[in-house]
Amino acid sequence: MQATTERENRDILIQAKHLKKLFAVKKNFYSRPLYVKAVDDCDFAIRKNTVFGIVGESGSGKTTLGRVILRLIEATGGSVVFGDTDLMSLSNQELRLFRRRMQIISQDPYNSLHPRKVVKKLIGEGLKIHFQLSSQEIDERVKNILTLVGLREEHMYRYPHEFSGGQRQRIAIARALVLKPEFIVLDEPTSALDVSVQAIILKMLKELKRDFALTYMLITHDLAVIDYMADDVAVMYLGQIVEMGSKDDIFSRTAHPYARLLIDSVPPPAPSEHWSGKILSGEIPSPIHVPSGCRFHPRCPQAQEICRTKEPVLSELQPGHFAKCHFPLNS
Amino acid sequence: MQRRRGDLLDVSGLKVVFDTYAGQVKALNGVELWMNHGERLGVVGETGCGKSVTALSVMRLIEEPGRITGGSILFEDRDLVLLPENVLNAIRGKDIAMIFQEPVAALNPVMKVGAQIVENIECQRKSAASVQASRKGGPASGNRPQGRVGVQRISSIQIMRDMLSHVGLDWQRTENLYPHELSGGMAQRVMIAMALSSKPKLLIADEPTSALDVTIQAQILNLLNSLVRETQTAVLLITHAMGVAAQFCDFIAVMYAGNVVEYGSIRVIFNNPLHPYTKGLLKAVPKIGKTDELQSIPGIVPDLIAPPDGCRFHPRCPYRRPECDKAQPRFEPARGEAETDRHHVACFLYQQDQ
Repeated sequence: MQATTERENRDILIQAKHLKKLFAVKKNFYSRPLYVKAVDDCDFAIRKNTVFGIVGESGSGKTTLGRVILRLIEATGGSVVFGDTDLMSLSNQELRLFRRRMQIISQDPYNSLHPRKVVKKLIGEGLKIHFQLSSQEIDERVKNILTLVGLREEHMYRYPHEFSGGQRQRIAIARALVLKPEFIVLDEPTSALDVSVQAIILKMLKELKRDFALTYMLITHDLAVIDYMADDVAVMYLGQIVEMGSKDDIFSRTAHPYARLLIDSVPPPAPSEHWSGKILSGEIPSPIHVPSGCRFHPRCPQAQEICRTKEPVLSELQPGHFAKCHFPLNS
Repeated sequence: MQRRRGDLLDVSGLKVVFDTYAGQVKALNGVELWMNHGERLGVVGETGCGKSVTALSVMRLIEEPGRITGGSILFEDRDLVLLPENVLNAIRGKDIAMIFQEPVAALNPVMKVGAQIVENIECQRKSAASVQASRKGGPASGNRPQGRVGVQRISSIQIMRDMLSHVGLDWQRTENLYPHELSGGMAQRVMIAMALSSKPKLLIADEPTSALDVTIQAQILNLLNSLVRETQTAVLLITHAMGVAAQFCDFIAVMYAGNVVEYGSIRVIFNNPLHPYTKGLLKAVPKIGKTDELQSIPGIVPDLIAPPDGCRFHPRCPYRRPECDKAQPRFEPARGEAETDRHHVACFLYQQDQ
């Protein structure tokens, strides 16, 4: 698909093409496997020093996409180019060294930190593997990074259970950041946190991005967080990107009916604003038996005959604004 | 005794503690809130502020090692804190029903959905009958003809089927499913059907949509909205999502570390918040279309084993004054506002006699 090839390649950090991940499931030992299409033919490009937001309901394949990009899960097909390196062609050893440049911060700060390692070890482990530093140098860098994320030196010898959720997420951020990566996948970084803590963490992530010229891929179900953080946004439904463009394209010139309904279903936190209350009926179908034609047609208020039979392509409406719909809105 | 504030529910001075090995957790420290018949009150606050403990106290479901150490919970004309267990059982599920955050976990995993709802309806019938009988001084069902039980069961099944179709489910399919076969949204609909089958006067909803996707959340909120409007059921909605509270409720109680720090109509809480915590909380919520900088509240939620003296918010408060760490501020009406807004705040900045 020419979704991204036309753009300038110079400022692009990550280019994904025809990315696919199928998971085989078997009902019993003898049955033929069925496939869950977790990620199905996704094309996108992430520009350097921007935040690429991915949003969708649970089960839409957001998290799988984030992991496939980093080769934490091997893709079934497609390619990911990081800078000028084809990630899919790297051997395990090469990939290991490459990991320094791309990191992940995951949703649950209670499970992502080893409970029996002190903070210094948690953060210093990567330094040991990638930089072969002396123990003093590691100490020094861990101290620096801790102050940077708003923790103190004396936290170095504490265990994860001694910290609150927000502090743990800071440790996870420090651990990713200490290796001086270029690209970080943020998988629901604040979903487990309270709003006041979320505000601190989001602000900090924004500042760190500016100071260290980072590029983020932000995976979340919270559209308000996307609006606050992202430059470009992709909306996913059942393993596919159904709309992609700049933040303004998605929120102000929404083209795909699914994206529209998703945005409308968020209750605004102000009583004066009228909530349209337009409702997306039904639930996300099983990714094993995906609907024919457009995957959204059973829930789509605008569905016509062609939607049932023919799958739309992700086509460019305006430069940089793509939608996968036979009858895009606002056109 | 102060004057009665809400004709359905009036919680005043409610204190709850939990005895743990680490010390006594002072979970609720004098909670004040009230509501009239048919109103919707949202209780908002962050994790650990006592929202759920408040809800459980109203149902008198606080279990060991927790106990209610003070205050009153007036429900219509009775104080729930003082009632004996058998009378409470006639109120629980009948006059006050509850739905939970994790609907699948709240259902019995080895019982079909339809049977669970029927069981609930029958239970209410029995406990209502036993209370009535004990008032009259006779045995509960001693001289009742046997045949009526069967008739009642059929009518319970009929109520169950009506309720399932009422919440937008196909009863023929759903009544024979087990909870694990339901999606989160369907399970929450089943919970709602069960809760409303007894036509309660008060529905307590503890984070009913927090585990659901936004699209399903919108479906469930709309469903609840139309059902409780139809039946004039009052709702006590516990939530941490300001958007949900703003769109669903008439009144809001903001909780912090075991206290209601501010109470009032959604209009005054969102447009004219007084308490520094409420102000901070509202500024920390990201909104679509308004991407100005988020503001956070410095510091962390206090440890309730050794809570700060005086106002529990004072260590984090940007407007702290000398008296704040000495005494707890009184929960008082805010000055110069319409009585219908019921605006109350517990903060020294607004107290009049200093």
